[in-house]
Amino acid sequence: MASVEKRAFKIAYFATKNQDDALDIVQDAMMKLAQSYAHKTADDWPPLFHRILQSKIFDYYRRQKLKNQWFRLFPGMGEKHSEENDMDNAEDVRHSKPDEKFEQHQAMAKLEQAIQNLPHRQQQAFLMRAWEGLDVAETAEAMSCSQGSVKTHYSRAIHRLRDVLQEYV
Amino acid sequence: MTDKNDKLLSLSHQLLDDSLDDLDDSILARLRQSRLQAVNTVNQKTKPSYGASIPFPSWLAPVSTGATFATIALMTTLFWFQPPPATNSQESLMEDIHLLSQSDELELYQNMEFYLWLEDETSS
Repeated sequence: MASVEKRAFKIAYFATKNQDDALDIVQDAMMKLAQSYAHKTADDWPPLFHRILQSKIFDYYRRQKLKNQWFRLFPGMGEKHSEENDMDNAEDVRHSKPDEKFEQHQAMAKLEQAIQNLPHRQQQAFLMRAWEGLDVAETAEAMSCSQGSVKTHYSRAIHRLRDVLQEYV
Repeated sequence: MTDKNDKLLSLSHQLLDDSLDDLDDSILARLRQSRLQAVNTVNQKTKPSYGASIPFPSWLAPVSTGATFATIALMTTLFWFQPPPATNSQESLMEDIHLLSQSDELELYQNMEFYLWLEDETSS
């Protein structure tokens, strides 16, 4: 679990754009994996963990959607939410601050921004295939969809990212 | 196109890996804490409870269940078919009255235990 926890956090962070929410999601996923799948072999854990992680992210989206519906009904409740967004933006600025590795940081910032802007399913497919190294079948299992859907989402994600990062490739 | 894709994938992978080095200590600490919490949950789950500290082979479970049922059946049978007591309380009372009424034989009956023992000794 130690080997994937940082990447899991980043994946959750790309999905939520919020550090605390991402940490909560990773924690929930770890607990669920430990409680339900400790008896499985080590080879089974990565796809299982990603399946749980994606499920938790999906739950997060559903909760957010519900919250947003309430915020629309009662606008006063949304103030805290907008503050959180401001905090997130401030953090993004900090991340993209130039330093001696200016170009790398710039590329990093662009990539992170591009990944964050990907539709969620494309983001999932790209991160699990390109970063986690899961094959199409494992990714399909984690995303609870067909292998054909994984290929489509992945291909679209690659096209989008290539457009954004064309000056670096 | 494939070459460009390979470059993109390689660059993305490298950038994402590098971004892990920039994670704050507070985030790393939270992740570590979450992992330890999850591992502890597993350990608590797999640790045998106090009552289960004596190993009991699972294959013995049906044997012990069978033995329990056999014991219960035996006890029930013995209880059910137990012969009725040999002496009737009313007969016993009449016998006692008869003995008490014959005072000359009372001494004989009082020493009956001794005579029985003596008989056993002489026969052996």
